[in-house]
Amino acid sequence: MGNEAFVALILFLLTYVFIISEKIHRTIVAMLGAAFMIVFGIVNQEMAIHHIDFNTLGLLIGMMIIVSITAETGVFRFIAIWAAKKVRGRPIALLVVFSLITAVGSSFLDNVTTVLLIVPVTFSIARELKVSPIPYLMSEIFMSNIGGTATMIGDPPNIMIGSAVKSLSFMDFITNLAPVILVVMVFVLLYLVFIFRKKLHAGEDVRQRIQELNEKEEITDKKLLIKSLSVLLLTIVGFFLHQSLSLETATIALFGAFVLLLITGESYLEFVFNRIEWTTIFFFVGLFVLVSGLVETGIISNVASFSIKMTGGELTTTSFLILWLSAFASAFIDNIPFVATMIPLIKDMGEMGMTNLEPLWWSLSLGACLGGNGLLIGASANLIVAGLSGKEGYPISFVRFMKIGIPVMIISVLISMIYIYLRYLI
Amino acid sequence: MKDLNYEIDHSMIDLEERQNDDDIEFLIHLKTEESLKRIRHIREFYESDKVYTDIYFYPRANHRYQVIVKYEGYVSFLLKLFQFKLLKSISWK
Repeated sequence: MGNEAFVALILFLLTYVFIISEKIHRTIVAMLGAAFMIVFGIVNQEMAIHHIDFNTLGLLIGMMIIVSITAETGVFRFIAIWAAKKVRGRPIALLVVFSLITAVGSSFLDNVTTVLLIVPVTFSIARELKVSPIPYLMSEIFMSNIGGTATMIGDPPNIMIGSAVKSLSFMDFITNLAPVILVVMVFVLLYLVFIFRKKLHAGEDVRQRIQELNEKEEITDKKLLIKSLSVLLLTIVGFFLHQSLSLETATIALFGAFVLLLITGESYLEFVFNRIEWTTIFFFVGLFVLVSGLVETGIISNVASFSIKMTGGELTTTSFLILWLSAFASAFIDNIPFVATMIPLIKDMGEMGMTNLEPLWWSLSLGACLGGNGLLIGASANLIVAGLSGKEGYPISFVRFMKIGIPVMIISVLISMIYIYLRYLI
Repeated sequence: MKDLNYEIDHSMIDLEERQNDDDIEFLIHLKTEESLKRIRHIREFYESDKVYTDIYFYPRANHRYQVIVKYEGYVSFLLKLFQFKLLKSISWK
C-alpha cells in the first residue's frame, strides 16, 4: 500500500470513528474529513467535485421542497383520521393501517419526513383511545424503513444505488424490490401485532369518539392541496418514465419542485429553503469526497479483489455476504456512508469479471435499508421518533427497541435472502 | 378549575368543561364562521411549537371541537380563548 493510500485509509477510518461516536455532528466530521482528503493531496478539488453525485443531491433537494409544501396542507392528517374511522378505531386494526400509511408514504417520501407527519396524529388518536402510543410509534419506525426500501426514492441507499447504476431504472427498483417488501411487511406486521396485542385495547365509548372526528377540517388550504398533490403525482409519474424520457431523477424532482414554487408563489420560497435539510445534503457531499480518496488510491479495488478471492467470485456467496454484512453494518452505523463505500466496491467486482451484478445491488439495498431496523441507532427515523416519544413522556430505550428491532431485522433479512436466492440465483 | 372564573361569549361559542383522566377536556360549539376561524388560529399556535401532547384538538362535525388540555396548560388555553375574544372575561377567584 502506497503512502497516499495509507493516509486515505486512516482519514476514512478516523472519520468513521467520529461519525459513530456522535460526539461531533456527522456533517461537520464528514466535511472536515473530505477537506483533509484534498489538503493532504489524496484527491484534488476537481477530482473531488467529479466524485460528488449531484443526481443524489438534486433528487433529495427536489423531494424535500415538494414534500415540505404538501405537508402544509394537512393532507397526511386527513388520510390518517379517515383511515382510523374506516377501521372504527379498533386499536389493532389501527396499528396495521398506520403502519401501512407510513410504509406507503415512506416509499415515495423521505422516511424522516413521513414519520414526522404521522407521529403527531398518532399521539392524538392514541390519547383519544386511551392507549399507549409506543406500539404505534415503533411500528411506524419499522414500517418507514421497510416501505422506503420498495422504491428508488424511498431511502438514501436506493437513491445512491439508482444514481450510481444507470442501467437500473425507477421501475426496476419497484419490480425487483416491491414484491419482497410486501412479503416482509406482512410477516413483520403479524409479528408486531403478536408482540403488542395485549396493550391494544379500547372501550366502545372511546372508539365511538374516533368515528365522530371530522377529517375534512384537517385540510387547511384546498388550493394549495390541489397544486401540491398534482405536482407530486406528476413528479412520481416522471420517475416511472425517467429512462424513456432520457432524464435523470434529479432533473424530474427539481423540475417538479420549482414548478410547484412557481404556481404557489414566492411566499413559499424562503419557507422551503429553510425546510431543506442542508446538514444531510452536506453530509452526502463529505462522504462522496471521502470515498473518492479510497477509489483514487486503489483501496476499493483491493478490497473488491480480496472479497472476490474470499468468496471465489461465487455469486450466491457474494450476494448473501453483502446482504448480511449490509444489514448488520446498518444496524450499528449510518447506512449512507456504508453504501457510499460499497457502491464503488461492487462496481469494481464487475470490472474484475463478475458478470451478473444485479443480485449484488438488490442485496446491498435490502441489507442496508432493512438493517436499519435492528437498533435504535440504525436509522435517522428511529432516533427522531424515539427522541420525540421520550420528550412527550413515552421513552423508547435502546434495549426496549433492540428487543423488538433485532427480530424484525432478522425476519426481514431472512425473507430477503430466500427471495434473492429464488429469484436471481437458481 | 375551581380557582378560575371565566365568562363565555355566547354569541361566539358554547363551552363545556369536564375532567378527562388527569387532563381537562373542553367541548366547544363554534357558532359562527368567525369563531371557527379563531379556534383554527389557536390550534395553529399550539401545533406550531412541536410539542405534541400538551394539548390535543379534535375537530368534530357541526362546528364542534373537542380539546384535551394537560392540567399545566389549562390557564394558558383559557387565556388564549380570551385573547381571541371567545371569552368575555377571565379572573382569579
